[in-house]
Amino acid sequence: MRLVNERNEVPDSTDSLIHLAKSGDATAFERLVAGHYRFIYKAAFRWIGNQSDAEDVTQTVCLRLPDALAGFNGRSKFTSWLYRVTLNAVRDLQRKNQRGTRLVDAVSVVSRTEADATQEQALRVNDIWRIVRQLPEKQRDAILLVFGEEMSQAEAAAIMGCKEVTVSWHIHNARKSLKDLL
Amino acid sequence: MSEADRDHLQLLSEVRVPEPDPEVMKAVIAQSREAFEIRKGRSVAKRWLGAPPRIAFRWLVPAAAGAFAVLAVMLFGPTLLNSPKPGGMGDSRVADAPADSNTAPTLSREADAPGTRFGAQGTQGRQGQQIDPQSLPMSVFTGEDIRIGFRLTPESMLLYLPDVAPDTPVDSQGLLPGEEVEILAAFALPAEGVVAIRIRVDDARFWRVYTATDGVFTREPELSALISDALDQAEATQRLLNQ
Repeated sequence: MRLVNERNEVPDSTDSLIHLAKSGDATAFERLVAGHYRFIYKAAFRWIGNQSDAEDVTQTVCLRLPDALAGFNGRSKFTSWLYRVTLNAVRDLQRKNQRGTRLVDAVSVVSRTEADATQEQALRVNDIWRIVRQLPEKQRDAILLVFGEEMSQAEAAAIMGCKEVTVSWHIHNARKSLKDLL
Repeated sequence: MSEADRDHLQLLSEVRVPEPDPEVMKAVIAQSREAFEIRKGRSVAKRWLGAPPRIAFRWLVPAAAGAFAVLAVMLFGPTLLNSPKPGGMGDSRVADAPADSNTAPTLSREADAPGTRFGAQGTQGRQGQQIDPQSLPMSVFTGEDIRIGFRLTPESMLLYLPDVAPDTPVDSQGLLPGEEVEILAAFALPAEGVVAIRIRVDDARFWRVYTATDGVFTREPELSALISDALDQAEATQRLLNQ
């Protein structure tokens, strides 16, 4: 699972770094941010599909972390909590973009990154991403977490702040919506 | 869902993510550390200035609220007695302002911008009619450790805690015709006896905080103002816990 793999890229002392950072150790905090920068960026990119916006979201999250970290109580995995903070920042950006009538358009970026796949397959992936990103928010979140991030429904529920059965329900509804579109 | 559709969704995991720009990455990490050090400096100054914040908060806020209430009654009592009755049950049409009013979210009263509209609106075309809120269907928003019920009338959104008092609204948000309202987030801090709800009314987003007294939840204006402009649950929680 991608989430777990990326967590393994982080130094194995994440818990110690969090503890030290909470007690005011700036070096530990910097290491914590550096260790999770790619995690935040990649999550944001998958959600937005645009490198520049993903970097903006990553910057927002990193600048929120000094304050937000105090609210991390260790009841969930740090990466799950961080994912939720990232998702909130993504949503804020998406709402801002929607207000400005700028629609998310990942097609060109995804096309470049899929250069080594077959042309037909790349176009198909682009299409699916484009359609899924236009689903209602909760349905889109559930689909992207479970299918895009390959999380279990329980992990997706932890990040979305709802019950597992609610995730199933959103996926069910999303599938109905997608049936005619895919 | 057919097997073909399932395969389509599984393709979602195949998108490749480009590496982040290393220069941007270095700069952002340095900015983040700088923000951390600034925050650390603020925390140290806050501790140094007086009593532990939590202790101070517990008696200072009620005392200040009491003094303010007495003063308000003395100053405005006669005026209020002569003023017309409010239309609803004390509907708020604006958010509780945070301490820094320059950053306070305000409700836009400008004409709606064209474009896609999201969120729910109060029932249209029935303004002025008496509607029994209990006759309206209750929708439920599931937050973290809390469920929030809400009913939309033509003039307001009534908020409920269905697991605590399903029939009694804890609060209401007044709505102007055509205004959109939605609940963006909600969470509870059971140990603190606190419930927080983030609401969007058109372009304005704000938090409301409710605390329990004798098992009855009511809005806590000071705490609502404190976290009103928090960007997310983590920030709202942090501000509440640092009181």
